[in-house]
Amino acid sequence: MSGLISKLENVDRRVIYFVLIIAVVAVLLNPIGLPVPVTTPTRRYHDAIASLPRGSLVLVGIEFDAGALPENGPMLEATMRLLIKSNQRFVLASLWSGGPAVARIYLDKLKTVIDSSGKRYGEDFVLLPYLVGGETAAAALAKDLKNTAKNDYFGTPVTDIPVLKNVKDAKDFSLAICITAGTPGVEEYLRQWVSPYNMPLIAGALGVAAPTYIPYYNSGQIKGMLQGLRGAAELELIIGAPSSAVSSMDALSAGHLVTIVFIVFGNIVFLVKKYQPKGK
Amino acid sequence: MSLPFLKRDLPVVIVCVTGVVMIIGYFIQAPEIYLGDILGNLSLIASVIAGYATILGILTLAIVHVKHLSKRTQGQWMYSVLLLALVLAMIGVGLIGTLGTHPYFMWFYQYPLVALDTTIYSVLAFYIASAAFRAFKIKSVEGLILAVAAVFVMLMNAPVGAALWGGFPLIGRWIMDVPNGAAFRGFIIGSAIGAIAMSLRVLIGRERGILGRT
Repeated sequence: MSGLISKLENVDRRVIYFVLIIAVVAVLLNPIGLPVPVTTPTRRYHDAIASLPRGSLVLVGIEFDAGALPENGPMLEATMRLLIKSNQRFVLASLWSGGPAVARIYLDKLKTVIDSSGKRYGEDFVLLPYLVGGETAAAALAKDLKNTAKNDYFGTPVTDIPVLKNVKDAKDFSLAICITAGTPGVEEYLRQWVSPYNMPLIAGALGVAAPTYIPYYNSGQIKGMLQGLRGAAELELIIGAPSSAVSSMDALSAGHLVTIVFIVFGNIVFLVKKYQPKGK
Repeated sequence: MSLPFLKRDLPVVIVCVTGVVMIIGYFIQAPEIYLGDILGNLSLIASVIAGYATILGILTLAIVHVKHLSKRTQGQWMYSVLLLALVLAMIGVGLIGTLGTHPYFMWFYQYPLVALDTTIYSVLAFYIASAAFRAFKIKSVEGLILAVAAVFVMLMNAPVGAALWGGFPLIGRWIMDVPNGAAFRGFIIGSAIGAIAMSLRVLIGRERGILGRT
């Protein structure tokens, strides 16, 4: 008996990996379609964009790189769809070196949506190059956009770009959005855009990072928040464009359930071992 | 000027003056104190320095791996070859045309890099499942609270939680907003006070770690 308990307690981690991958692949191949109720932080994120007057200028901070693409990418895609749908103008900027390339991926992906909406690059939206310097770059961008980014991502001088014609500093924006996988991210925007300029800020954060931003959300410094892939899925559902995040929700449930099952199983084994009579 | 002044005292004076100017510019909004251009230029200088730091980082990385290559370090040198080749390839395609916009660069980024990077990140899920099995043992009251909170928060986050019982999202949300929010608020305030104390020490020259060995 004690030999069996010992074996179960020290189960090979590859068994856990195998069970997890089987569970995730099974629901990806056979989706269950569990309902995804929309939470208040996501609803507020959506409303912050949708309630802006048409044609407002919005800064979209793409503060993540390739590694966070599966979680932050759907947030960016749904946000861009919503900005286009609600007829806003937007500036895509990034304090991460890979940010502009990420933006290109989604601009290419949404090409038909952009074209059918009549939006045009340069007139309704623009992509700035990588802004080196982290928080300093965020501060410089807020203070003097045209001196911080002299050209757009494609090398066109910002003075020749119509959407930036009357833009000088952060006061010319109506909303800042920060979709982030870490630093620089939300806290840099809070210090350099929200505090000095009273800029409304909404954020999209990785599932593991979202708890750290809860105090800022509860205090009202962040007006709305997408929390992990679940938040992205909720936004996709609100705007009526279910995409990769919604299709990943069953896999997320399966992964979480497997983890919980292993936590319970581990504790059962632990308790059986603890209370089994000595010598058996 | 003496060498100790240049190496030890001048950097402290530069840090102190620029730090005080930036603090005044951030916290004091008065027309009598116009620092607009100075602040803008200081921010740009910092961005330029950060740009050079990136180049320095690439050079340091290259030096480390060229050394591995020249010494044929056991179990390492072949990875160094791969790393150097890929760094050079990315820099090469990035320099074609306008920086980082050429289709070759986008191909390198979108296909090999995104796939590799996301694979590394997604491996975390397997480690978390394995670690949860071993770590969440209820050995004490604190362990019980931790395990129960973890289960509720996971079931709040996954749609299956609401499907099983409507209470999971509500309790999970309460755990996130109240105990978690309170803990992180304390952490944020504590680390901010620490950062202020550290910054003051740097500004008055009491903290010289930033200068390296002087």
